Amino acid sequence: MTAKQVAVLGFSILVGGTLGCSPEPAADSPRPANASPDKGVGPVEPPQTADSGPRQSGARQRGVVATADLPKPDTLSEDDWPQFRGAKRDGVVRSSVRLARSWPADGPPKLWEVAVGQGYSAPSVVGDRVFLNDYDEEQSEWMVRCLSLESGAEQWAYKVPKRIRPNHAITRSAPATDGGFVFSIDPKCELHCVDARNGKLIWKVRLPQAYDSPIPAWYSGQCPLIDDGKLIVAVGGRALLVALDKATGDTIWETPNPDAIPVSHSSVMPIEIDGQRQYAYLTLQGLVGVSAETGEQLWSFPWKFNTAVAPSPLPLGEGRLLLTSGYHAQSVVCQVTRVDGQWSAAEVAAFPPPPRGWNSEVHTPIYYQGHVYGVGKSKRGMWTCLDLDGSELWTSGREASFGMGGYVLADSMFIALDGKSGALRLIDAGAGEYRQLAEAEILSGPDVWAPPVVSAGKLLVRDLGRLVCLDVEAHGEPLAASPGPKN
Amino acid sequence: MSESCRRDFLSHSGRAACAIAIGGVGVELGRRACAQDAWTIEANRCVNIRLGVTGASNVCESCATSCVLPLSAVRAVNDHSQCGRCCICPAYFDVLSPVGPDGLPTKKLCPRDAITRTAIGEVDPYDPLNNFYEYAIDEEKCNGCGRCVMECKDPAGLGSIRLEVRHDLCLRCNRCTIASNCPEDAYRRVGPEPPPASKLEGAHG
Repeated sequence: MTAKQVAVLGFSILVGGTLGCSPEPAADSPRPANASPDKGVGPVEPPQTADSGPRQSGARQRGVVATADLPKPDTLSEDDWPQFRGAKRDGVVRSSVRLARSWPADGPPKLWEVAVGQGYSAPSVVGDRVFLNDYDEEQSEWMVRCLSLESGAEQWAYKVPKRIRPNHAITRSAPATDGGFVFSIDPKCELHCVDARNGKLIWKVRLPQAYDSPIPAWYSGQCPLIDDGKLIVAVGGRALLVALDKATGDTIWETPNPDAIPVSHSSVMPIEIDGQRQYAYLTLQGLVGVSAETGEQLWSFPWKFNTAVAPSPLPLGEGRLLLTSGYHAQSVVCQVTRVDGQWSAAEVAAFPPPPRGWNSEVHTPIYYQGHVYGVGKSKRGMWTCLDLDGSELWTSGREASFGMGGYVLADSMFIALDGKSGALRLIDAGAGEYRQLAEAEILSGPDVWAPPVVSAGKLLVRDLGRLVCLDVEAHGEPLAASPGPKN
Repeated sequence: MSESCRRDFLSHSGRAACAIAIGGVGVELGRRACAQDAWTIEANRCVNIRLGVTGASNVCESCATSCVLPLSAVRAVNDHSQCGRCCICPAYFDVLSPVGPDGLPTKKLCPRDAITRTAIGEVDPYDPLNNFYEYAIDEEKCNGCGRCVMECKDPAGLGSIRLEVRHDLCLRCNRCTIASNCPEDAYRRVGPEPPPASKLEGAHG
C-alpha cells in the first residue's frame, strides 16, 4: 500500500467517523489499565467458562457446536500445510510431488484466484480445503474463509463484525488446523476456534481481556500452534504462554509472566532439546524456553530487540537457535544446554551489527543443509546464504532483490516473492550460489509479504488484493525421493 | 595647482567616478540577480533524505552546524500527505531505546524535542497502539539536524519528513557555508530555472 493509499484510507476513516460511525470502543478491544473492572467493553457477553473471574468477564465465549458433534482431527498427509511454515514449522515442503524447475514465460498455469482484503496472512491447507484469515473492509467483517484447493470456490466463511482499520494492512496471521478444528487469531487478538467442516464457532477468547495484555502495534501477527493435541499461543500480560484444550478452550497450563513481557508478532516454535519437548518464544526482551508438558519456564536468553519482533526463533539443531529481527536489531545464535538438570542458554555467535550484518524484519529464515537462507533487511533485500556464524556466503547481489517478500523451500528449490514488485522467483537451493531457475509476474506490489504455500503441486501466493493458486507440479516426471532437509 | 595638474585631477576623478558608477551598477545588477536565486536541498543527494540509507549514526548535521545563523535556516518538514501516521514512528521515537510496559520505546529521537505527537481520526482508547498519529515539527525548536529525516525512510518510514531551506530565514549568502560543507553537493543554488525533483528515488508508489 502506498503512502497515498494510507492517507486516503485514513481520510476515509475520518470521514466515516464524522458521518456517524459508532464512537463506542470496538467490541473486541481490551480494557485499558485504568478502566473500572466492572465496566465492560463493547457489547456485554455473559461469562461462559468456569475460570472466568470478574477481570476476565466476557472474555470467553462458547459457540453453538454441541459436545457430541465436535469435529475429529484428520490424519494429515505430507501434502498438507496445516499451519504457519508447515507441519514442522520449518518452512519446508515435504511432499513427494515433483515441482517444475522452469516455468512458461507468463508463469505457471493459474488454476484460480480470489479477491482478498489487504493483508499478509498466509493460508493453511488440509486435503482439499484452504483456510485463510481475511477481512472485508466494506462490511467491517473479519473472517475465516474455507476455499476449495481445486477450484477456489468458497466452502464456508466464519464472519465476525469487527471494526479494524488498516494499519499497514490488516491481516497477518495464518490459521492452524488439524483438519477438524481451525484456530485463528484476529488482528485484535481474539482467538477463534471454528469447526473445519462448516465454520461454526466452537469457542473463542479475547486474549487482551482475558490476560490483561495490550493489542500490539500493527495488530496481532502471531500464528497459533497445534502441538501434541494442545493449542499453544503467546498471550503476554498475566501469562506469557498458555496451552488450551482444543475442544473447549479451557486452560491446560499457563507460563507465569512476572516481568509483564508483552506479546510480540513472533510465533511459538516447538523444539526438542536433550530429549525434552519445549516451546521457544521470541519477545522484545529475548528468547524463552517453556516445558511443553507443564508450561514451566526452563530457561531464557536475554537479547535486545527494537520496536517489534516478527520472525520466530529458528532451530539449528543440537540446541542451537537463530534469533533475528529488523529495526537495527543484531542477529544471534544461542545454545541451550542442560547440565545436572539445570537449563541455560548462552550466546554462540553474534552476527555483525546492522546495517552491515544480516537480519530479517518480517520472515523467519530457513535452515537447509547446514546453512541459513533468507531475505536480508539491508541492501533492498537480497537473497542470502549464511553460515551459522552470520557470514554471508553468497547473495543474489545485483541479480535480484526481494524487499521483504516471503519464501518457502520445496523440492530442493526456494520459491520466493519480491515483496516490492510481487515477482515470483524460483531459486536452486543446491547450487552453492544464487541461481535463478524461473521468474514470473503474477502478483502486484507493494508489500507482498505473505509466505508462499505449496500443497500437492499447487502454489498459493497472495498480494494485498488477490490469493492466486498456480499449478507448479512437474507433470509427467517421476516421483522423487523425499526432498526434506538434511539437518 | 597648475593647469596640467588640474586636468589630470579631473581626468582621474572622472575615471574613478565612472568606474565606481559602473561597478555600482554591476554590483546592483548582481545583487538583483542573486536575489532571484535561492539555496535549496536536492533530496536525492542529501544523505539524510535519500532513501536506502539507514542508521542514525550516519546522520549528516552540516545543515544544522554550518549555517551562519544562530539557528539554521534549514528545518525538518513533515509532508502529512505522505506520512503513514504510525504509532511507533521511527522519527519520533528512539526505536533503539528499551520498550516500556505500554509497548512504546521509552525515549524520543529528537534531541531538541521538536516533534509533537497527537492522536487523530477515529481514536480507540482501548487499542492505543493502533491509533493514527499526526507528527508536527515545531520550527522554533528544529535546527535541521536531520535525525528524524534519516529515520523516516523506507521501509520503517515512508520518507515523509525532509529537510528544507526556509527561504524567509535564509540570508542568501553568496558563499553559503552549508553548501561549502555539504558532503554530497546536495545544497545547491537555484535560480529562475525549476528546482530539483522533489520525488525521492525508490520512494513508495
